[in-house]
Amino acid sequence: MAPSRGPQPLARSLHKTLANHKGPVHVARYAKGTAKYVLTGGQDRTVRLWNPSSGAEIKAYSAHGYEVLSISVAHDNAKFASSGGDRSVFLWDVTTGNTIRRISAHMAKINVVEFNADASVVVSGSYDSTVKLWDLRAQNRLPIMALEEARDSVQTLYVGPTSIMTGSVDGHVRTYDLRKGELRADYIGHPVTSIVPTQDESTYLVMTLDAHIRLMDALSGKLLNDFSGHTHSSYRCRAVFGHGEASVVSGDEGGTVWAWDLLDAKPLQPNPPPKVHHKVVTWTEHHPSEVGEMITASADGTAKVWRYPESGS
Amino acid sequence: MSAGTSRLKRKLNEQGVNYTSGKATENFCLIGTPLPPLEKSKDSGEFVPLWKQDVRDEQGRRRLHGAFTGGFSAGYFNTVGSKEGWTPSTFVSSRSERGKKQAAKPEDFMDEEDLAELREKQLMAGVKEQRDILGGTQAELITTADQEQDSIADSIQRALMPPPDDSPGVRLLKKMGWRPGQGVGPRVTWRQRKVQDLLASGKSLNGINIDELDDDEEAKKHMYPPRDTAVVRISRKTDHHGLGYSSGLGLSESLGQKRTGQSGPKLAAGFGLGAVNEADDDDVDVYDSSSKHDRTYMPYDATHDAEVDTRQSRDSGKAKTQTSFVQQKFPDGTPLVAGFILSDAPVKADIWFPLPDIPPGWKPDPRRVWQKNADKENDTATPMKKDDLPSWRSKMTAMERGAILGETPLPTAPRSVFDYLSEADRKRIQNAAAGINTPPPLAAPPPAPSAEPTPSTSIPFTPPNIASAALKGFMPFPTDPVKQSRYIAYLRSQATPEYPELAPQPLPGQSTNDYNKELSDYAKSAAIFKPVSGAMATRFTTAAVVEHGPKIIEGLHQPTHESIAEDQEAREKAKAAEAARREEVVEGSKAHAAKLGMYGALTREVTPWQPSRLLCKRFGVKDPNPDITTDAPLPGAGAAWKPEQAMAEADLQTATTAAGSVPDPALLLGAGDGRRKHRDLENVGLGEDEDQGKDTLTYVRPSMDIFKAIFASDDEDSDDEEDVDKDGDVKMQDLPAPGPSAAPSKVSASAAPMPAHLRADKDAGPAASYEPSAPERPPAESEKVDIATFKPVFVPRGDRETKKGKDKAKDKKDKKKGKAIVSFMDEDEGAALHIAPQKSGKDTKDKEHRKKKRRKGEKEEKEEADVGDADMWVEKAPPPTVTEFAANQPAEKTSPEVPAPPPPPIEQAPSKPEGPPRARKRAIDFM
Repeated sequence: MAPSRGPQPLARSLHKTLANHKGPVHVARYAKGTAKYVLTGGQDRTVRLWNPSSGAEIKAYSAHGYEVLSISVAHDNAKFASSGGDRSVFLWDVTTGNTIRRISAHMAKINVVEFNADASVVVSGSYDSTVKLWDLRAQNRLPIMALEEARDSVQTLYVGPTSIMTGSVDGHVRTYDLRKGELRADYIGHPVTSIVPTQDESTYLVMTLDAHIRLMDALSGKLLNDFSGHTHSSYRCRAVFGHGEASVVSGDEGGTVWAWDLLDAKPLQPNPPPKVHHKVVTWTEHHPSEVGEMITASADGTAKVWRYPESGS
Repeated sequence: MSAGTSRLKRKLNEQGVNYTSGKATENFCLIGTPLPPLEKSKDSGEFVPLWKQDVRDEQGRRRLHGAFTGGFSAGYFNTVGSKEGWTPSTFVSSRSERGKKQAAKPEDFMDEEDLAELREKQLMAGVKEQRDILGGTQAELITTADQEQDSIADSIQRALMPPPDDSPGVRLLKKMGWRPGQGVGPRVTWRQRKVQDLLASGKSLNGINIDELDDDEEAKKHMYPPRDTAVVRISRKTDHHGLGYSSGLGLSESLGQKRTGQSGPKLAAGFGLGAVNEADDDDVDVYDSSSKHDRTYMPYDATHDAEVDTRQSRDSGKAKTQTSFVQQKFPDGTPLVAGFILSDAPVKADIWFPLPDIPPGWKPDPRRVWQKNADKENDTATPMKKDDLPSWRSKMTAMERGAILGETPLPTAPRSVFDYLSEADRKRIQNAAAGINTPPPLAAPPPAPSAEPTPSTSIPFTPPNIASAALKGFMPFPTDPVKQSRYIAYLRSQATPEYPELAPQPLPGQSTNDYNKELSDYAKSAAIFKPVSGAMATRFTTAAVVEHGPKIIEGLHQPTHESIAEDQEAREKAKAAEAARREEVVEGSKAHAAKLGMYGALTREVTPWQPSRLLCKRFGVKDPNPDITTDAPLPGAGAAWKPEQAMAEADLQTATTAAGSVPDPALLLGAGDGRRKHRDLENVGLGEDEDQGKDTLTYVRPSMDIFKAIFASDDEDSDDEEDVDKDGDVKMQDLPAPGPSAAPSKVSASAAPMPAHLRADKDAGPAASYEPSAPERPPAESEKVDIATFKPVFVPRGDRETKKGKDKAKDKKDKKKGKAIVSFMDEDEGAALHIAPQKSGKDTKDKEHRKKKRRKGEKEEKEEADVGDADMWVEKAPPPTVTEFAANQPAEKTSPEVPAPPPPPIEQAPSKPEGPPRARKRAIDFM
């Protein structure tokens, strides 16, 4: 069914709608490992755990006093971190649903939070234009480090094994290389809303508010490819790689989900894609291992699980 | 009985009475109390159980809800506004209606019951009025005014009413001994009182002998309260007559004669009854009981004191209450204070005149006005004319006037000591004082004794200690540098009296007065601003700047310096533009490149960044920029691998090895001695391994014999080199090993090198694999140290011998071991342990047991002897000689106990009996 050459077509058949959130859903993340569960966080101050294949809500985690803007799942799926408008990072125990720890030291809402590979460090990027790194092994109230190079709100983060990448509204993607001990700041020129590197970290996908998604070479900072066609001017959207990093998938502000061929940067069919959400698609995430599954979260209050049509799968 | 009744019936029948009719059986006898009627009648006296009782007010509404009855209605139905409870009143802005707002009165918060109560109280209060100090109660005044009220009713009412309350003032006075009708003040003698009376009655004292007036001896012995002073009542003038005119005066009265009476009826009570009034005589009620209305026109009679006293106040009270006895109220309902009338005419509003039209083009320039005024102020004295009356008056002082009038001057205020001094003494003292105050070499010329009164410049004195303290303290004129410097100069001059010339000189245009004033200001400032001394000083901090704000120009602001402002604005703009431009330059290139899509070097900025050590630790990354302080870094922390250093070392070694084709192992070893103390598992192959690159750099291929000595099997002497090569670097690195055997004489069989892949020594493994003679473990001692510290993977030699080339799987295992040079893997060990007994035919447990024992390091000889023939320790490969010797025999027979002969040169070792087969196998495996 898939063409012999080129990327797999996007999973465009709606499998389940996760619609228990009241108000916009800001983030939807797959669990680690086999990724059989989905965590969503929304404006209604809750984080919800779903089974995407059945569409059932398993648990709701509510301790946030403000909207939830970001979730990060630890490597062992035992805990996750969430952050949002209440200016603190909440660490949750997945099974009990209690917060293990609340880290509050940012001056403004925390846009993004990420664990490192073994969940010993959690990295938070805030509207106060700082990135702070927190040691989870010690009960220290002070961060390990604060990265204050950004001159505007930090929107997105990537924590790799030996590097940390931050994307900021000041139009820079900053790569903090721990091994080399250097900071590489790539100027994109427009507010950055998402950074997703490839698995080998040699390239990264950066989505900016000028309605472009750029594939950049991490080594030289050169532009490798440019994907456009979608509408993206004011909200945080996220562009990710499709299965096998052969395509680029992104939701846009019109409520549509776009897909491009990674190599020739042409939008995959159907072009233009159908409108699947009423409002802006705030988060797009492809299943880490499954070919035909992805999830989108939208400001219309739903998160949708997409798969290939049943007959095909 | 039936017989009796039947007889009665018969008798009745006979009498013609129908006994069956109802009338016959009618009963007129009532026994007991009748039952209450069945239909419920309203019986208020009926007993109601306690729980059914409820309290109702006169309107029939229920009272006592809530807590009294279980709280079910909680005061909703007739206490608060809504079912939900008390609703707070919503906020309504009263800003615009502030004028209409009235102060809340208690009545606003009362319900009808409370209001009724209040009304009752007010009624009582009206009854129980306060007695006015001027005369009676309000009610009395009303009654006096109300002439029609008959006296009987009045007296009845008086008797019924409770006695009036006194006002607080009256009560106070009473407590002080005052009685109504008396005057206020200390008691007076009889005579004084007489005089008072006479004066009050308007008679002059002349010609009246007061002592003769009354000859009551007893009366003179007492003190009397003074007469009451009449309150002067000023009546409102409503007519247009002149002052003092009273309408309706007769001729005689107007001529000054006293009017004898006011009205007829009152006169009748006294005996000064004139003929004029006789006409009305008949109407006079002679028995008028209101004696207080009596007027006596007799000369003073002591017995009628009270009446006389009250007369005036009564009259005035009557006049007042005639207009106001109807209780007047303000529009908001509050009653008027007694004695006041509500004005009919509204208060006139002030008249505001409209502003004159400002002529077009007029600019406010207050300076002109000031100048005018300043002139006026300064010249006020000059334009005054001597003949101008007010000016004359103002110019005269009281003293002058007194002198003119010839008054004797009043005794003056306490005189100065100087007044009593002679002129000469005074001068002397003045000179002395001047000497102190103004230092001898006076800056300003001493005032010439000229006629003109030029004030001399006098520098006020400040004690040196205060001056020096003030110098250290707060400077009060930070915004006026000139003043500040002069202040400092003054303080200096005062702090060091020996240098008076330090004192500031008068400014060029400064008058002497101004100069003196300035200096006295400085002196005051010094006194004020000297820092607080001692312990108090630490408790205060001084404000940084007092004269902080911009200089304020008085008067209307007239922007005369537009140009300056514009200049400033322009300068600021330019500055901002400059900053923006500079930023643009920095950002611009990047932005431009980004706009063009030329991402890469132009848009990338690489700066050094120092991650914190903890972060590196958490990420499992080595600190990229450790601070290099220690010479011998710990293995864990590790020194950075410095490429240049490594290169230098490599250079040195290549240089030394370049001479001979064969590397000098001793040299290598010597070079390594110092540095390689801490080689262990952690730093092999990592950045901190100093020797990482060196081995390859300095590698010189050894001769074939070495390979043969090591790898060639005793059976097959011929080995192809490819196999050896393919064995990889492990074997290559082994090459230098045999050579060093640094202490050849001591080398035992066990100390001989062996293939690295067989050496799974945890501690010394890698080091040994690179160079077996690690400094800390010299070969001689290795035999003893081995046992305790080594954790070898052992494969029975016999096994290997017997199994060689037999089992693929086993070979794989070996290969694996060979690959994992440095690891001591449990599974390997387990495998080895597992395999070994099969081959050797021994029990696994037994072996484990033995192994444990060996670890403990007990009885090594004995055990070795035991093990000896069964499993040979791999690391204790026999020396070449032994192997040579053993070459003819089965490998099993070689035992470590064989005395170790001095190892021959490596070149001479033709073959190694046990290694080669394995090595070859492995090489094959690699292929």
